Amino acid sequence: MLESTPLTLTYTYRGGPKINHSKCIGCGKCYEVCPPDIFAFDRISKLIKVIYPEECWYCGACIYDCPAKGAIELDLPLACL
Amino acid sequence: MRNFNIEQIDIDTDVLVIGGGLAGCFAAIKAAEEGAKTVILEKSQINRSGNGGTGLHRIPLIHPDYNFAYEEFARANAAAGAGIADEDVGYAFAQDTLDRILDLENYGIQVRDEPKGPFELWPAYDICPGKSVIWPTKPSQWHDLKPILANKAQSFDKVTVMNRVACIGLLTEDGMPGTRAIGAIGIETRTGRFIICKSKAVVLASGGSYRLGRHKNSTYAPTKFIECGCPVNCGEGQAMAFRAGADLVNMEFAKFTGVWKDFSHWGGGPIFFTTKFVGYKGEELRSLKNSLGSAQDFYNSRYRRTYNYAFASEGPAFHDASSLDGFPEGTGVMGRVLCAMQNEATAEGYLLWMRERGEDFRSAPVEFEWHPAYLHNNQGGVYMDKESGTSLEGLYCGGDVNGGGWRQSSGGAFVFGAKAGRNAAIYARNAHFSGVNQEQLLRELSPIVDALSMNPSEGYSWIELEDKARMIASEYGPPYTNDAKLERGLKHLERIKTRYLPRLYARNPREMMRVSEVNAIFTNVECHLRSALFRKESRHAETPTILYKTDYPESDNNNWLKHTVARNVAGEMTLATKEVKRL
Repeated sequence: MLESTPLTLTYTYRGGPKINHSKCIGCGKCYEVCPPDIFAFDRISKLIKVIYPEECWYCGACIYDCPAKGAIELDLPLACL
Repeated sequence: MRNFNIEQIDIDTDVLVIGGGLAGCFAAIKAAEEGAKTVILEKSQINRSGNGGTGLHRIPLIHPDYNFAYEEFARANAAAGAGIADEDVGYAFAQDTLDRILDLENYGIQVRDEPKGPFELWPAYDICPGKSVIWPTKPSQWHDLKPILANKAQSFDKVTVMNRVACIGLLTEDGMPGTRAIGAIGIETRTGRFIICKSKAVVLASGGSYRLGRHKNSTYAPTKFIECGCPVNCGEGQAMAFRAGADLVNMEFAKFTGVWKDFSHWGGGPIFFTTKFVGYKGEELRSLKNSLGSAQDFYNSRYRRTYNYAFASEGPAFHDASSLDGFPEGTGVMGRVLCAMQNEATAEGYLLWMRERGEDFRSAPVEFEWHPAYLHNNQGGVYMDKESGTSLEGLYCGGDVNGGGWRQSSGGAFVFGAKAGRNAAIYARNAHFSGVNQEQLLRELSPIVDALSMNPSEGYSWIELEDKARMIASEYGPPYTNDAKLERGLKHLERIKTRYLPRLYARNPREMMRVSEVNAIFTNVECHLRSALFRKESRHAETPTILYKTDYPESDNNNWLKHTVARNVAGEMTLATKEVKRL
């Protein structure tokens, strides 16, 4: 059972969730709940990545359900600023 | 070859619920209470999915002890919808709001200070005139209502939830449009496996569409920072019901909302109901304080004036929140609204936005703009009767997917979700399983199969095609339009649909889901434009943000106080009218 192929961005996108890896405990909760499914999670290395940042709609589900407070913050894309 | 296998899983159930949002959860709870084996196919993850996923703080309560006699509400509600809303549906809605709130209390949502004590009601002018909504008393439950409801639904042994399964098509008896709904096809969005679900009854609870018009600075998700607008909801339910032969109604009537410039925060919407708009010289465009108590007045004058001002060369226009009642202590109407916006997860977003732009809505007017079309008003959508039935046998619906009524908001999801679940379960008792028609199955799967075999270097991505269709909706469709524009828009859409949509490629399970979404968006945009072309009048004529046709600038109550109906007849989108039900 293979997971989705990550999107490769050819530029830096400032918006969406930012993971603070020093606080992240690698539980994969954000990957589990994210409505638009923008995270990728490696269950072996416990590494979480945001692979579709442009599809974040800032609902905050990842932050509400994250057991490690402060491990995720939201940033805005330039278009909103 | 592709790096995944196409596998198929066959399941069967008494009641199939498509979508596990507020309506879908209530449908499953009530179906299970009736003893039906129930499966929810959920495109995201049920704890946080749908419009109420992380932010729900307004629950409609209509009751003679507090605001309206049911009949009075039904009439006011239809009037607020410019006359085009079934009054029996409004009546049924009003009748059940309290029962569903009592259900929520039983599930653990606190909505009043004392058990069995009085409710505190607040205005919500987008739902109905006067004070019509209550709030969970604990702010934490504004964003925890959905997980509580989802847990309740999952507590039944009879209920199975399949997360990350997008429904892509309905199955009907003998594969013919217009016959009984007998199940649906789903696709696991992380693995690409197909789910073929046979059921005795189907509940469609897939939500509205937030990917109809195209916001200028946002491709996929037009809205940001909670309170509805979930972009996962993109009108697949409407499109699959249409293909199955169900009636879509009033698809020309999309919803438009004011949002702060560039921030496109839709949750700011409620602010607009109680504060004022000003022009760049500081002149008041419309004081909403004057429109308290009248939803009709709100839609009649505010939108028109501000829309004209912002878009017809007079602007820039501003939203003035400086006179808010009760900010920031959390008292008063605006205190409530602002607190709801400024919860722990999104406060940072607001603060960041204000800091970066040097704006602060608490001290100075904030520039605003209008959000493009989306389906969320319960006026446009899958036609639903007062018992949550649709025009197809065995197909029930509830929540934002339903059409023919007016602005039911979360209460509509609770009331009609519950009714849909209960009535589907009762129907299922005497219904039978039907065999899946292989031709229909192949027909529904073919866009995905085709996209998988398209070479990406020769094809088009889902986002390019989606954007193109949504741009056409925004550039040619309502609110301001006319027949020439609509015909032109339809011509462009047809050209893209025949020449480029077949070249859509999919490389992975996620993009297989996108194929279904993009096809749904094309169907909905076409229906939006065709319905607007069909209606030879302006409706909400004083409120061009709904439908204002420059070639038919007046409302024509003699001929057009009716629903428009779009139906799939032998593969063609045909339009007709249907009488609005009056009490």
